[in-house]
Amino acid sequence: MTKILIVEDNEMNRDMLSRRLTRKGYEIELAEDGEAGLSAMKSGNPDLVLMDMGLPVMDGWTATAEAKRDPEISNIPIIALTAHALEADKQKALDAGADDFDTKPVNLPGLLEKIEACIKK
Amino acid sequence: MFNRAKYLFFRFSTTKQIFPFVFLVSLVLLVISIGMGAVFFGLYSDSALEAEGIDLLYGGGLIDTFWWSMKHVLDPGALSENYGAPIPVLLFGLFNSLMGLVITGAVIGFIVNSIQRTIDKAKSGSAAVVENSHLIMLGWNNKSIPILKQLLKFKEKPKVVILTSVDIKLVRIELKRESRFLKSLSVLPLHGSISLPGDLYRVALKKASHVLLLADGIDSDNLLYDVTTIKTLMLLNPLKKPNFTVNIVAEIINIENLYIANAASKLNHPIISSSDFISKTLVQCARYPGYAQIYSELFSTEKNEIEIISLPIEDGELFGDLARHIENATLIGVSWIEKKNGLDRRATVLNPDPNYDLASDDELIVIRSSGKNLKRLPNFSSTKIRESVHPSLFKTPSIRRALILSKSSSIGFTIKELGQHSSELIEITLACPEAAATASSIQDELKSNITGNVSLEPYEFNFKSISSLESLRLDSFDVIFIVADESDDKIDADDGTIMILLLLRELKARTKDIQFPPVIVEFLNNRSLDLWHDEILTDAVVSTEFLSMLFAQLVKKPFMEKIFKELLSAGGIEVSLRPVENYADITEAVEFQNLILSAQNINEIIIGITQESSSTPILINPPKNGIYQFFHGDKLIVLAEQIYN
Repeated sequence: MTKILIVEDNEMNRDMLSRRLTRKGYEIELAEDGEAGLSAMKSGNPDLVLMDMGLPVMDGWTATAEAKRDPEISNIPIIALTAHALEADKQKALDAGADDFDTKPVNLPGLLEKIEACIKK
Repeated sequence: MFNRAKYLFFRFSTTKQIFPFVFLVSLVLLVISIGMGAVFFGLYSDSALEAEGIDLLYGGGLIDTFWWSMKHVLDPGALSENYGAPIPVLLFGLFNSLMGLVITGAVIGFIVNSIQRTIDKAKSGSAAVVENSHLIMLGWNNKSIPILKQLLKFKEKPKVVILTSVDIKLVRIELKRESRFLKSLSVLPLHGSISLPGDLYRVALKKASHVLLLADGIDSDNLLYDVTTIKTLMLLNPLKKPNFTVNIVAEIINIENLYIANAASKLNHPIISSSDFISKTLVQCARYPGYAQIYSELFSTEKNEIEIISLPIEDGELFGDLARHIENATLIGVSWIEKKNGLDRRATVLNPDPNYDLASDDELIVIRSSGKNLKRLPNFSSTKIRESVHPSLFKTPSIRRALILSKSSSIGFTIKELGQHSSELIEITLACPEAAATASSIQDELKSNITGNVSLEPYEFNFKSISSLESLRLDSFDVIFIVADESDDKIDADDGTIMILLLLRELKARTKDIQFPPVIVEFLNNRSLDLWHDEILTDAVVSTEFLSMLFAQLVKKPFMEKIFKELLSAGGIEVSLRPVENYADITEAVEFQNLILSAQNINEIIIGITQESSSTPILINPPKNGIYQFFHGDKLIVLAEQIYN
């Protein structure tokens, strides 16, 4: 079963994503901030990470950049998520090392395609 | 021996409640025994037996003597029936009659005292409660009366028991003052400590259905109140057994204490930081003027109620489709119960996207018209759906410079909240007495919480030199906040706010050419707001009213905590006001169904309409099949993802 780590500080967003992805057959792990996300990436070894960008403690951009610098977890694909993203936000996330990008509220079919594409890569 | 007996008597008389009764019975027996001594002084002599009151029924033995003696103790009139008896017998009879009067007096005294004690107990509020399924209000403060008024709006009016350390006479006076509003509510005020197990037992806590734990004190502006609340939360913990199903909601004054309070309650009850909620609401009012009134409409239970309902749902049915076809309710979210660490947890999600595929065990969060049944509407064929303006292109409220007029202890939260709502620098000017020291203490207090997005500039301002405000360039601010200031005992907070508002009105009148910023005000009392029908006031939050609405809702519906937090906090979902033109062509009448679809296209849910020209300026939960003629300035109230610029 594909294991996805959702790093999201908003409880409602976390609940919604995990509920919908669980029903699609994914195993879900949760983290509430960038720092916890990094440590969950190391300990949980997920197949993919959905990373919110506006996170407390350590923001999503920093967490993504750090993950990509760490050889232990740099191979885990990261999809950046942010609310109503502008082109600049998208570029900022990709510059930080994110493998792909999606906006919140997520369009599930679109996100599922991106998840599958990232995992296949 | 004597000393030992004396000591035992002392112990018994001072520690045992039954002592007075034992003493009285002993005295009666002693007097009767002494009276029986008359038998040795000619009680049954021939001359004595001629008297009417001396009987010889059982041969003049113990029983006859006991009867004679007791008769004199209990009936003073019996002495007259001894006429003709020997003098010593008469003296015994006289002694018994006099002692009988003393004993009768003592018995009457006991009865009167006992009645008086019961009355005093009720008056002082120290009676024990014999009640079931009641609502207990632990603590009394300036929100208590508004909360009681909110409870009146519920279909099932609860029986309310109040336990407070505040002088019960003051509580009664306040209740009496509002009696014409509260007459249909049964309220029992009791005096006691909300953090004493004995007093909690006295209010029949285990049998209650709801507990509202408030900061206990008239003004509730003291951090010590939080300590008492936290102690009470700890006392409530051992009660949490499977059969303990009481809804508990607690109030914390200072958000800094929220963490400790949550630890004390082991995260099982909604705990509300009143300063935090008011700060969040003030900032939202600044972002969307008119918000306070929308909030009152939305969260008052008079016309609409937010509920979680179960409908027969097919697996895979889309949220957006269902939302368009339920009449008398606006679907705003989804909820379900899930297992977490072995415990049931209710998950709630607001504003899911219209393509959210529902599961059969999903429940729906709805704004429902009070007293109306839900019904499914037939399928609607959309005709004129205009493509909505994308939310990222909306002109969203922008606050870069704010003026705060207050020295209230809660302005730190307002500043923090302003910072969280912006991705760019916000310059805040703090105008109050001892401004530099206040600003410095706020900066220290919130050092870890204030983001780099906020700069704080002190400006000296007080009521003695109120005109000092004139030298500030008010038009340079995006918003002016007047937060209720309870820091000065000599000035009533609302009076101070009114004085500042009068000054601002004067300044506005003098500077007609400049663009005056919106003025957002916190009042403590609804009556203060009633005084203002003036355009200087852009929006006002009556904090006691707002919080009472919040507490009354939460104590009945704990799931609402997450909804309140989500709607008020920075990030996530918020209640926004959008021009109708963004969704439809308003030159002609618009079908509401078309508006719903336009909003769904950009992941928004319409929960209401504001039309200044209408007899109902704010309409929450509009009928789905309504047709509206909109005008410029009319707005849609939507649930939407928050946008920052």
